[in-house]
Amino acid sequence: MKMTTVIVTVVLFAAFGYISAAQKEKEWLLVGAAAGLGLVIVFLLQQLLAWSSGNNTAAANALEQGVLFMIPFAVLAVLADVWLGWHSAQAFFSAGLSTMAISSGAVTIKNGGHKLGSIIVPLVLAFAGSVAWMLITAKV
Amino acid sequence: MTIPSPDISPQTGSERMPPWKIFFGMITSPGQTISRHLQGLHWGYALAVPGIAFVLLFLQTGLDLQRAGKIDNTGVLYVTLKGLAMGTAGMLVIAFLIWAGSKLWGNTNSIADAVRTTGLAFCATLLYSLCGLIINLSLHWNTAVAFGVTGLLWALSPVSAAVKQFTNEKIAPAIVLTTVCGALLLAGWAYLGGAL
Repeated sequence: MKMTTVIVTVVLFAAFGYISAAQKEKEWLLVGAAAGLGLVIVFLLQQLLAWSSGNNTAAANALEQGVLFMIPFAVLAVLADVWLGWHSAQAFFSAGLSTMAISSGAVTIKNGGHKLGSIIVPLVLAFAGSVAWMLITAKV
Repeated sequence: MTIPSPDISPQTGSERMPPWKIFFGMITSPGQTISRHLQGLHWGYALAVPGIAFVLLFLQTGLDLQRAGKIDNTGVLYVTLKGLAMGTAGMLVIAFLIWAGSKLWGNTNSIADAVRTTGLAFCATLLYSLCGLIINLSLHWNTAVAFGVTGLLWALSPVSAAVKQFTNEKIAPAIVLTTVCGALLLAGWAYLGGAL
């Protein structure tokens, strides 16, 4: 996995964790758990894309692009929280995660990946990631 | 007098695809759908997608407010008309922004292409709005925020794919333009919906 992907993932997921942790006692635990969840999701996604395209380097490059497309969602989540007072990080997280999966998958398809492994299964993984996020924010 | 209907048949270089496949294609693989299938679709049809989506979305806002006793039937109609304005005029502004912004990175597409791709990016929003309205009317739940935020955010995925294509696959400008468009959408919805 590329270092850029790791850094961006940790920063973005931690940001989502921080927004969701507002007014909670164990806020740093949630930030850490969010970053950990992000790394697990990204690792699994890269394995999927590598399986789909049969090329580990292409999968890493696709994932690097995909993760970057989660940035707008993190920025908007912060804006909505601070400016509009909408505490709905979950919605931004789910949409951002799906966009990350779709963007990475689209690049993988261009590099010879098949639709099942590049789009459909990654979308299922994104959905599972959203559910995991819901459980983490509810429990921590 | 006969009014000629717009030509929505695919032009040279684009593949024929049924409307329902375009609809779901814009949700699951927007970039591919845009580049391969949308060249021949009239921009007016594409603009109808966000138009209807926002009418349904703002209708839910109106119904929620009416249920809370804050507005009457005329108020609901007024809020719904604001949705129509945001879904049409607002989308034209967003499309213009994408078109003009991506010009800086060598975009050669026309403004009609920008309207077409931006409009169809809201297929998922239309689906969410429709589901939200059904639940709102049948179960009398307040659905505007839950379905509205999710629907709006789901539009950003195809918007980012469109912007990426318009900026010749350049990532940084695509991310910046997507963020600006998303912020404008959120602000517009919050302002017209009365949250600001």
